[in-house]
Amino acid sequence: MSQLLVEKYSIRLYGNCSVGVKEGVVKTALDFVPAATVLGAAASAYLLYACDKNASCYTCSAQCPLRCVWDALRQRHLAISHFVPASPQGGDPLKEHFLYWFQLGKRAPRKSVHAHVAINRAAKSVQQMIAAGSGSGAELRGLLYGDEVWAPPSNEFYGFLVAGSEDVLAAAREVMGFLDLAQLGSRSKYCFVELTGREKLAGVDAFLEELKESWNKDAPLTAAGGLALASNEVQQSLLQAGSVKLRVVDVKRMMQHSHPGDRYVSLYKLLLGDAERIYVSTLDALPILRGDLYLPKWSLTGVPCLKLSPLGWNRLVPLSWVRKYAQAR
Amino acid sequence: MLWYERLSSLVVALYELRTVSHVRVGSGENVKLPTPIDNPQTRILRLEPGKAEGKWIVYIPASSLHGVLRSALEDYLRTQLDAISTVGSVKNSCSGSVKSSIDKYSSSIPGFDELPLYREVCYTTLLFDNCQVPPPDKDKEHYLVNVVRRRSHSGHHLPCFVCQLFGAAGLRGRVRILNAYPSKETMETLPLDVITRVGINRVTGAAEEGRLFDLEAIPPGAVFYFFVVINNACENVKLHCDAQDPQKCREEEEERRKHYKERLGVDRDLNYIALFEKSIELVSKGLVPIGAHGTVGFGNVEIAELARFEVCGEEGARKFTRILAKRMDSKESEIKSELREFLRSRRAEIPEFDPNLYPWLARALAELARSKAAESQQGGAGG
Repeated sequence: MSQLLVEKYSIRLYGNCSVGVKEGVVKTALDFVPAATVLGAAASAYLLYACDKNASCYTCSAQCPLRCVWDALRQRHLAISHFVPASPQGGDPLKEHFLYWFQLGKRAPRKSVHAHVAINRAAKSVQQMIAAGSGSGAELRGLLYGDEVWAPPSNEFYGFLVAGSEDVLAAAREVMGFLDLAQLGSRSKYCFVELTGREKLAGVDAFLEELKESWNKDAPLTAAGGLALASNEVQQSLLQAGSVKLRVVDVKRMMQHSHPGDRYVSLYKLLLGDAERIYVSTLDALPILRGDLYLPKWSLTGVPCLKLSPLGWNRLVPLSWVRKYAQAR
Repeated sequence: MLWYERLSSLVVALYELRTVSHVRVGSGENVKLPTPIDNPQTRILRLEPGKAEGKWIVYIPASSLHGVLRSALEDYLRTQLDAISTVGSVKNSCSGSVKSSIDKYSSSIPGFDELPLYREVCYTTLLFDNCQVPPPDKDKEHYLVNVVRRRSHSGHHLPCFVCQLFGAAGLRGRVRILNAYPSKETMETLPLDVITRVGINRVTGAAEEGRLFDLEAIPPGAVFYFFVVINNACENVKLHCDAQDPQKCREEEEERRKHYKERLGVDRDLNYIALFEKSIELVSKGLVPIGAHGTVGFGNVEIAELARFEVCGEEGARKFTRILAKRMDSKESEIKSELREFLRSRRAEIPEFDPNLYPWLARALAELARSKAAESQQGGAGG
């Protein structure tokens, strides 16, 4: 990437919206909207509403904006951040975005639980199922379940698209324009998305300079962004101030058609506590704000080279910088 | 099976829901709401901008509306169309998972064997009969394709009419519904009735001890507004195929379509918007109550369409979505004036909505309908 073009996107969700995972009978909501979810929703809406080719994307040879976005993501010329809740205090959106991950748990969006119960179409009553036993000893249980949803206006999120060229950014802009018609998250037939803002971000170079000043080889790092889609990966306590040593315990293999041999590492996995710990100071300093991140000397699991996904825009940033910014706020 | 990979039509509509009896949609026992009532009405939390605290707004969840509209259409189809068979008569031609599922229901629900089975509508909560895409096993596939004959031209499973519209396991529905909220003006002032009830002992005829309870309900006369988007709404409903020969099947289709239109009382084409409008009409006539206590007079509502964007035809659909997709690059007034050609306004009075609760498209639809009504009033006055 010769240049970095950063564009900020803001979205607002309407209805009972969430992106989450099922835990028992309640589907819990994440504290942010994963980049893959936003991109997937926009791409799906683009395919339905704008694409007039009667072919699967895998076999279609047309050069459309969506194809351009996929290619740019594969080549690491485009990165999309997770969408985090809009900061009520305002402030620099880029810095606030980085700080959000440091303060995960403290700045969670307000949520409420909505209970549902299934109605049996034949009996016209609450659907019941036989949970255990049979005959007179059978236990009948209602099919009750709940969704944790973001409470308005906690349903306002923002994130960034980082591109290496204007062409790529324009293609991504066109795809993201379909967010108004997109279905996003779980139970999306009851959820509507609105693209509320799009602006080019100025001052990115100054921000990078500021980060570099805080950067040195032995500096402890903290995570910004991540691949987590399951809440059990989110170890909020480890992200609080005071417990910021990064620990590597696991590598998550992800399937991707274009890179079948690649391994991706989840920063949330890095943060899990375990007996097998190594500190981040053994890692080389990473280039910041670029999609093609490598950790070349890391060999705990025999993996010669790790790439971080441009989806989610995983970053490690100097802890000292985050603390400094948090104090300044 | 590729279902609707392209958009050929779209309906975006705004509806008014007026309660004509008490309506109660409960929140569940373990949801903490700011009320001392035993059985509270469900509310949605709306935070004050920039603050941690907020107000709990009374609303009707989209999932309740979706369920009731779907259920009304299911009932209507079962009433108007002929059953293909009964559970008891097909039981022996089923095997494996389907047979064991039928046996389980038969042993727990009295008279289950007489339950009629339909080709055009499934029972979504009966595991052996509900549409699933793709069918989970060979037994279920055999049941769906050969026993209840929900078969496509190609001989594969084609979901029932209701699942084609509202969706099934593995098949996304065409209908998207937003929660029904009160208008901005009445949002914080809408009162709730508290109704106290007691269980009566059938032997003594007196109040039973410990059976006193109270419940919250939306009173009659309350007005809510909800927003609906239906993808490919003007597309014809896909009919099931009887004959083994696809050519013959197509030849018979016109005749069968006519038969369905007569039976279902559909004047125009038998398409998805016609089925959706039928379900709105049924709920509006009080045939299916919304929420709890439907057997004791609760849940009757009237639903009226206020305005809609109607986009039929691929060219129109493309134009409509292109206008929306460039919203960030154009002035809002320009976008709205371009959307006017798709507007079909039915009612003049549309109140202001809370912009935090309704998406841009719903707000734009309401605003355009209001301005069109104002223009026609001015024109009328001038004339």
